[in-house]
Amino acid sequence: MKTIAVTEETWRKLKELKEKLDMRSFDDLINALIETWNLSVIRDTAEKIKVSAEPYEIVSFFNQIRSGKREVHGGAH
Amino acid sequence: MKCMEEHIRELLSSARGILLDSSALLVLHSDEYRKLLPLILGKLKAYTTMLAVMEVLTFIYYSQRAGVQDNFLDVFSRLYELIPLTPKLIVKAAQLYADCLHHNYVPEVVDLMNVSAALEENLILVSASPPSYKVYERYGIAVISVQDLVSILDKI
Repeated sequence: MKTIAVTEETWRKLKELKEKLDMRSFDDLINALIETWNLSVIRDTAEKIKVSAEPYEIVSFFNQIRSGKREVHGGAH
Repeated sequence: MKCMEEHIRELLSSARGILLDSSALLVLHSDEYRKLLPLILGKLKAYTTMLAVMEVLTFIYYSQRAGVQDNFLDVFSRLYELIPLTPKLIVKAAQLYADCLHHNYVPEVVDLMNVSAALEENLILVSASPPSYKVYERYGIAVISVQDLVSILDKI
């Protein structure tokens, strides 16, 4: 196990959060915080690529390309 | 149903992660599924091939159903591990291509690259259209649908 140093203020906040989240240990708490942070970053990044199409339209687009049809419906042209 | 879920769970636990093809990527970024992406990417390491990314961009440019920013690839690479066209992958794809021709089948190059990458990297292929890969089953590829993946999310 490794140890880290935190200020009194951070220690107080960590203890409060550990109790609030009903965590068994500070190790569990820190891992939960890391996981939450990772999910939050993924959520923000995923929102940067929004596709406004129904799943069936997407599948149909690729099926038509694969079958060699020139006329693909749902296009902008 | 339970048996199918168990089978998918076993597949996922024996693989290094999932490889998303272009249809799966687009469906997962659609309004219906986008909220689930953090859950999926928080639990599984997700890969995609550069050719699949090209198809995603093709759909977006063609249908104009999404805005394309200059940093699209940068954003994409923060979510997914991008698999480049390495010499090893090219050789694997060529071997499979030749075998398909011997079986009187002309493969779709992007699909073939996805299959080759999934086999080389020990990944489960995820597609919105799994029947497209039926012909490649003889090579040992495991393919699941986006719905299959979503249905077992709370069990992995």
